[in-house]
Amino acid sequence: MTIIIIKHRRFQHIFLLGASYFFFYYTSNYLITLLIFTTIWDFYFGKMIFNAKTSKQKKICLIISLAGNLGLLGYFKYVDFAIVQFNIFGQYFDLGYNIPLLHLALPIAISFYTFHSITYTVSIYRNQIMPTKTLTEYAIFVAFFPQLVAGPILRAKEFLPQLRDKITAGKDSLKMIIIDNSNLKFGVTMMIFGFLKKMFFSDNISPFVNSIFENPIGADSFSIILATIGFGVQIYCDFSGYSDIAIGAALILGFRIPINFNKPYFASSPSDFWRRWHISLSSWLRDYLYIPLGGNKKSHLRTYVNLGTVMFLGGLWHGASWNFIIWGLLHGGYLVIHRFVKDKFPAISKIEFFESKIGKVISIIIMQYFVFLAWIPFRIHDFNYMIYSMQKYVFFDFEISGIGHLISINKFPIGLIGIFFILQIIVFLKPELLKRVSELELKKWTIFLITAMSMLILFYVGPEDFIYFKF
Amino acid sequence: MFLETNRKYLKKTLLAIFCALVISFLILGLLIQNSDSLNYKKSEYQRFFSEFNSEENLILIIGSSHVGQLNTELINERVSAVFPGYKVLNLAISGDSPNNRVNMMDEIIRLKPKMVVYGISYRDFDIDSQYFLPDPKWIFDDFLLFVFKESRQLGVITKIDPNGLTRDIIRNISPESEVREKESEQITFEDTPFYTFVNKQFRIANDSEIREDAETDLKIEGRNRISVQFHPLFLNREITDFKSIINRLQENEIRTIVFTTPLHRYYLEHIPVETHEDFLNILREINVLFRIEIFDMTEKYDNEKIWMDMDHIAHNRQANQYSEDIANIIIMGLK
Repeated sequence: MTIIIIKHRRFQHIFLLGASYFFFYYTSNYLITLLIFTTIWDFYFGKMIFNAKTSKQKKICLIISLAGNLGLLGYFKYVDFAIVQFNIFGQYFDLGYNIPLLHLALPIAISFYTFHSITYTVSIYRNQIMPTKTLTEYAIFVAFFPQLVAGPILRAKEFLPQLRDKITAGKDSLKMIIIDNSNLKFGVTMMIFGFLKKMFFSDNISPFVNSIFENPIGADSFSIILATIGFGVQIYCDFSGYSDIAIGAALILGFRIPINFNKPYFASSPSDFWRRWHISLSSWLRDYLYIPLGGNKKSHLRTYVNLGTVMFLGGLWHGASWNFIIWGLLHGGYLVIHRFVKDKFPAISKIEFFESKIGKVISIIIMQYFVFLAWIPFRIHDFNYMIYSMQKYVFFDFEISGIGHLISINKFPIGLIGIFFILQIIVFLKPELLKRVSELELKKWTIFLITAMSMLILFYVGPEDFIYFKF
Repeated sequence: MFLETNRKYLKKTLLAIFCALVISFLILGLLIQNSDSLNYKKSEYQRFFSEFNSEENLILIIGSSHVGQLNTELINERVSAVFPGYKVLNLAISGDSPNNRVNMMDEIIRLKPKMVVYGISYRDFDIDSQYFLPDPKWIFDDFLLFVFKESRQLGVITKIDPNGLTRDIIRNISPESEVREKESEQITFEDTPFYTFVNKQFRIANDSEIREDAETDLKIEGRNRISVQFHPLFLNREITDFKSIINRLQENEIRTIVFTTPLHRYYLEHIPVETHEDFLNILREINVLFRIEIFDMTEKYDNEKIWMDMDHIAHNRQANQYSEDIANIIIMGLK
């Protein structure tokens, strides 16, 4: 009986939605009401935009829908930050009035599902998709559990058609969710790689990074640089690990969600970095912010302003704190300078040296120097600590007496950082490692699973939240 | 949902995943069973309880590191001056909580103490979850504890730490290990057998160090309040186990006194009001239910210069007033 019910396609969708809501309720408790509100709000505004008779009506509906989404995000995520800034501003002008903070709980994943929802209404407005037929379908898109809390950010036009794929013949037009052997193997392999990144690398490097950045004052340049590199590895493994788990879990259920990372530490320019790092966010910002602002179709100056604005908002999206804004502005600055040099000195990009292997390696090293510099404000909230660490990173102090001790007491995390970069080079030189592993014959694949799972279990440090859960 | 195109291959793949899970957990099981550090601790505890045969009237102090910091030698002097023939033993364990301590109750009762003095604080009832359902973050930990419950006997560990065990094994391969260096700095007192001291614990920190410690703690967690979660009270296993401990002591006619351990004002300033209220409610309920004395010492020294950090009083002569007060509580209880 159960099997018959489960095989019913409509039930599959309800089951998927139930599982997603249960998962969200499990981690967020009553804050699930915000997710449900966003879902209902955009489902009906999607219909209204579609049914609007004039473009003016469409625009008004879209603006109201966006105001609802961004208003909710702004209220829960940024209101205390805004109050603090207002109070500081008030003190500066001696207004003698302090607005008390609201101390609101930050709803998990609000930044992600708000952006999911926006893609839906905007896509309908742009005539790229039709509204979903049922609220259930739309609710699955917003709350699809593998990627709900930390992405990748889904596009309605990419995901919604998958819910209606006719994989098997049948009069019902809903998708039959099929667990296919190759999807299962590939999905599990991807999830295992994700868990290895998170639990083996990131969680084991994190204590070393924390030990330096808890209070970096007095630390020498070598320690700061090592901790910065450590944090770069930690955040990459943490976030791309989550994305791999999400993509793998979705694939097992037969859904394809876009990749989020493509070897970002091999980027050779700022724009190249943003084509490789958090791809779903950078492409979202490009399509829904940069291009509507005019992109690079207007004057040079306007392009630079657009780049700076987008990266400022991208930084702010990560959290209501100045350190994320500084991180975003730094990357905005890199993009503007890169663009300016390309515009003013086009001959530079045509120099043959940059096309050679050694030229590319040098470009990558220089780019990564700046990428890792920007990780310092991302990691350190305290302004004095941040400035101190950035100074030590940029101006090497040649204080080398403590290097031996630092390495001797942190052999394991430093070793992991080294192993990470070696593996990255191997993966870069031999792409499709994941596919190769998933296509191993069953016995070899089982040995791979046992080895990987043993590593996960034997080096388990305890429950550590994913960094991007906060965003 | 499970309509597959190739049932045979799918079954084999699922079997492979299951086998990999079982084998990897078996490896962890073997590691835990053969862990030198755990077995060493467990055998030490077993030896203590099996060999302990005091003719004297015994008074036990139990609790976490907050209690471990007491000067038990001084308490013994004060108590035996008034009641000769009485001996005080401090069985504090670092990171202890009622859920851990409950595993040691058989051994404690076998010692037939005249009195048990239990020091508790906010964190003893912290279940680290704000939800009605079990927090998914702790599912793995709970699973390990369930599977390897043998390792919890005598309250040896509060949490299984696979990473620590694995790295201990790796370190032990190398003769000059940092673990051994650390071990050589540790001191254990005869009257506080399960609690080890390092140099830092003897030193009184100055105000700016304590403030820095508090700020660092809060900064790491990225919040401005100390997060202690009691809810939901009726599902809080720490509270249930605490009641079970008191109940067992009373069933065996062992006089029981509870005191709340002192905390520095920087700690108290960051405890949310609702948490404080909940803690008081827990104490009131225990007081009514078991009719036992509860001494509230939480704020007693909050401004004194006797602290090692924001929740531990230093084990130092200048900080002896904490131990003097506990000695007085015991003396009053015996009278």
